[in-house]
Amino acid sequence: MDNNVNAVKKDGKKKNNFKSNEMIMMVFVLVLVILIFTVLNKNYFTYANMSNILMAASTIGLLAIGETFLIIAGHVDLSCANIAAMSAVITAILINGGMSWPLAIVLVAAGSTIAGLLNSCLVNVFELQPFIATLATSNVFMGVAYLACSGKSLPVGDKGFNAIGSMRILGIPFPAVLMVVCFVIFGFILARTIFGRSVYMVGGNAEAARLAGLNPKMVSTILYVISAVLAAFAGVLMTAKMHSGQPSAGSGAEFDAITAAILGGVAFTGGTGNLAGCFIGLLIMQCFNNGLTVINVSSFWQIVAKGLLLIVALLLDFIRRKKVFRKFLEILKAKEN
Amino acid sequence: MKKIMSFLLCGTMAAMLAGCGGADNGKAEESNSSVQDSSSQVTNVQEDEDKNDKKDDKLTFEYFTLSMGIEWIQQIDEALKELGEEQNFEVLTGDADYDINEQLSQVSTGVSQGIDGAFLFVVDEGSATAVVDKFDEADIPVIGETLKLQDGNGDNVAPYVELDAESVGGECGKWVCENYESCGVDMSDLSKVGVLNITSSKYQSDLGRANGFITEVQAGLPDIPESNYYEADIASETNDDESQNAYNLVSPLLAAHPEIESWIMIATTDHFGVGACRAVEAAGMEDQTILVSCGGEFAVKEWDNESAKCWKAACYYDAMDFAKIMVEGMLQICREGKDASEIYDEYRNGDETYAAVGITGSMITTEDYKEHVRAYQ
Amino acid sequence: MENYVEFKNIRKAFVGVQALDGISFRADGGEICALLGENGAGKSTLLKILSGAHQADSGEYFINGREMKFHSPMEAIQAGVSVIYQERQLVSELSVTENVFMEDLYCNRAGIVDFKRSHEEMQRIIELFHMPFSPQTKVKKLSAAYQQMVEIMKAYRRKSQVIAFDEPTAPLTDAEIDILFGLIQRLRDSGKVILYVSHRLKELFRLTDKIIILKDGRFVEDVRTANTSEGYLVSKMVGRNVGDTFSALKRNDQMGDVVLEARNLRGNGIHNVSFQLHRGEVLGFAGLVGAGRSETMQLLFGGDKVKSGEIYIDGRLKKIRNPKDAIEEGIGLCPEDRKEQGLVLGRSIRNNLTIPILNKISRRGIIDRKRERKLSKEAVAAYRIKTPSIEKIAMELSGGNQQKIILGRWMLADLKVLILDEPTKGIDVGAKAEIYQMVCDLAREGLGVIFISSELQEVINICDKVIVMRDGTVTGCLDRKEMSEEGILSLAMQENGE
Repeated sequence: MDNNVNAVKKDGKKKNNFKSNEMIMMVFVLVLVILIFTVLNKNYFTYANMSNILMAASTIGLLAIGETFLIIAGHVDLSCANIAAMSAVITAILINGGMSWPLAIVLVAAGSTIAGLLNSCLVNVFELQPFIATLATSNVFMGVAYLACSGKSLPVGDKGFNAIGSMRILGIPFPAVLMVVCFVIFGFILARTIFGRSVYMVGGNAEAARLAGLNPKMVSTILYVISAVLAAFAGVLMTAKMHSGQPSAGSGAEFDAITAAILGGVAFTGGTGNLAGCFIGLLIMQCFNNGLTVINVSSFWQIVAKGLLLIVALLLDFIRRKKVFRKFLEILKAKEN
Repeated sequence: MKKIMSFLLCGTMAAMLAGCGGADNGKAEESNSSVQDSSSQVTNVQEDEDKNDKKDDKLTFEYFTLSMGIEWIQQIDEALKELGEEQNFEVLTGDADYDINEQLSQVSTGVSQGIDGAFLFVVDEGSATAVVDKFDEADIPVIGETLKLQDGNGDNVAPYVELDAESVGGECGKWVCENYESCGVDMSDLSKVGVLNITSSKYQSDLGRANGFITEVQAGLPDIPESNYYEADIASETNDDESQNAYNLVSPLLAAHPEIESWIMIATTDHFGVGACRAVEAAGMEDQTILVSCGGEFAVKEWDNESAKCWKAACYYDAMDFAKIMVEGMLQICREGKDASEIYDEYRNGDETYAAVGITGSMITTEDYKEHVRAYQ
Repeated sequence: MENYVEFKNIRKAFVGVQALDGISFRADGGEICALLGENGAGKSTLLKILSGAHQADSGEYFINGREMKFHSPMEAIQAGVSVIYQERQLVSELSVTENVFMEDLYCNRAGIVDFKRSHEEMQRIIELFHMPFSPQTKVKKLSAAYQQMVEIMKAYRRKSQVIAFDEPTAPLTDAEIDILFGLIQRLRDSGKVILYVSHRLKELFRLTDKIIILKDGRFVEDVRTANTSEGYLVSKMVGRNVGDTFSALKRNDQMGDVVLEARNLRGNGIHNVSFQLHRGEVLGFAGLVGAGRSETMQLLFGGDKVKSGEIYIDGRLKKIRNPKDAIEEGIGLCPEDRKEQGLVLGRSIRNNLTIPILNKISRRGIIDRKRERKLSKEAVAAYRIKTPSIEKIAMELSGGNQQKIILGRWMLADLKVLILDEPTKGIDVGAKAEIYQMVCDLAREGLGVIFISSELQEVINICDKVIVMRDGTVTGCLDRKEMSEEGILSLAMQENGE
């Protein structure tokens, strides 16, 4: 019996190491990606190109934060990219209509909460599957975006507003700063607050969480609203970046956001994952995409390469789940004996 | 229980079918009667001459198209409808949303509803024969737009009005060669000038534009070394936000080639142009870049706002020019009784059965765009 | 030829546990051989190796003298092994025939299923087993017991020589158990090897011929059922002589004021349920499955909507709309289904312990992690949860330890009333005894405890008073002195006419 307890203790420790190992492995992959591309083209790891990567990551990053929260809680939001498109167009309309841009941003953010509440209502009140419900609303939001501008891109002339997309803070593009700040704030919320803990518990087992005094519907409602508001900010950034509100803005970006979350170790089964992982996943993805362009890979091979990256990420997840790795360790141990 | 349900469902479906049929009949009758009201005297006189009767009837055409999300297509659609009001025909729209199967089924629906003629922006040039066959079977005239309607041997299977992609790109190239010295960009050392074409290899037309451009630039500025030609291919991106994608492709290319001191860029659509323009600005290279684009619908909006310093010119083509030729040909078939193989004679090439009309654009710049673009006239 | 199964020195380790540590024994055909042991003794793991779901790390096993090494359940099935698990492996939307003939329905030459022939064949088997359903019946329409029969017919149809049962009686009623046992005995008489895993000692005496006792992954002893006693078996499997678990309990004998009173509760199939609970009292709820005991508790706890009726806590009328309200009023619930309703299985012990007290261990919404760890460690120690660390994932613990996490969760929450819904279901004898004592300790600390159990022995020995329910109403209330199994049963099964 004592022997047994010892064995348990040892392995328990090993398991913890294994978990932090995952994080180290992710960072290792990121460094490896950067290293490989730097070797292939010395202009890859430059200040200018790194800020390009962050810039490209900024809007998807905002969407990925919302997705990570939702997926951990056992939900998903396929409509976020189209909420971004809708917000992008409406921001342009408001500013062109003579509204001051800070007010326009506030109004758009407030309006997007309605979109979030609509998603939540379909999922929580009418008990539709999140996947189906947000797929449906995603079309609605896209339609609204096209209706609002009758399908035409709307240029924005307001220099102050456009500066949001191009100004730099301490040499770093503002959209990237905003994204990193959001990652830090929401990462803290997820890891350290009651609300963050509730997200994990609800995602792990909603009924158990409810019977232990949490309110799963409230939690998911807040998450859909967070996702929508972040998407609205992403839309504002897109408009500022392009100096125009385009109804096709961000189209398909929800999948990039989900990919980043999954690359970062967020499991679709809910209850596990964290924002640090998602952030590194996002960076891996963007560094990879950018690198392929820098080293001038032909476009169709780029698509293949991106698919392969996703497969590798899913294999990592498989290894985590199937504990193939641990089994491998056990075999090694057995051989030592 | 199941059986009862299935009977009920069958019943409902039958009722719906009957209802739809009824509605259609009703509609047809209604339109007939309205025609009779307006031209009752005429019809009394010409009761037996069906063909001539058509001449003054309101015709119904349908515009089968790729996606109404594209601004160009919206403009064509609007132009067609505008012409319809002048010349007494109605234009329906079938939006295939990039799906060829969807387009085929929309064509079947259109044919069964008895449209008089069709304008076709085929989703996929490779499937042109499949779509055109459907119209031929139903004996409904079809005129293509933008994309070619050809079979596997390269023979035209129906008349069409296309954008002459090579020459549009060529115009842009020529303009750059003639005007690069007056753009305020330092190009004294052509060995340090890069040429970047921002295109999408998913679309034949985009590739054609890029080719035309490169051919002209190579001829006009032979001192730019071969190795300074680069390509940003939007097809490598997995989502559909074209401006964002252009931005994300152009910015790393700029960062990867600091040895290039000034750039000549062509965006094969204005959507790519916006992204490229912003990437150039973010890299702080707007004084060292000449950007030209095909289309111009977005360039003019930027110029209205006096932004986009590096976006020097665009090859502009007007949807109304397209629409006028399309409608002219269609009315010749439907009202004058010509065969589809007889129209557009002046554009016919050798012994082709059907003619293809190639339209090219004209260059516009910040200074003169208001003189050329229809919206300002 | 005589069938037999033989295990030689089987070992199997999972992360953190040596589940099987050199097991060897032999089971012969024509005999029902029980595998007995506490949870975690290795019975299920052994069955999973036999069925090809797991592979042994070392050791051999033989069927009729031939060495076997199954890499997948399919290989085991082809070699004539069927294991009937606790969780049934049926496709509930399909018919009985389709389930039984799952992998080889009769087909015609074109590969199209010949349903007529399959159904006919099925009908023959059904008649053989004297079952009252038809081949076309969808499995979801059958009761738990008959679903079990479908499993057995599947094993029979596969002509399995070795059939193993993993806790088959857990979801069954007494009458259904009789049918099941009849079937198992017939299978034995036809010379098959039967392995039978159950926690219920009484069953083993009724059914089995031989009992193999396992403990901590090791083989302890095999005994002929006829030559042994319940006390002996328990002492062997627990490793100590528990004697009479119940007589050793330190019970509470001081009762306080009424802490909780329900008046005319209605809703969710419950009609006019009223009762009082005192501080320091253990109030039992007895009744058959579906009598409305759990439903009543869900009403009290805010898990379901109350249609009408009043709940008083410390004499004051309270409105309880959801579990959160209930917890704020000092009511805690250990739900019936530990895995579905009780625990977030994928998260750590610490995370599971602190769900209801997150507010108390936080400042401005931010969790004080030091405090959380300290409290978690206290709860783990107080409830003797066997684990190397509070960070261990709940899923990896045994049933008894999982139950203790839920108890520990409520210990931290500072309660007035604790509702325990079948807290001892599916856990081993040793852990049960610990939980009984915990219940009594809680009562001694002045909590009002509501104790729901289907094991009458438990109810009689733990509770100060028992309320018997039937069809959503209270049919009787017995004091400690009046309690007897017969008395409770007659109230629980009383006919409506009265």
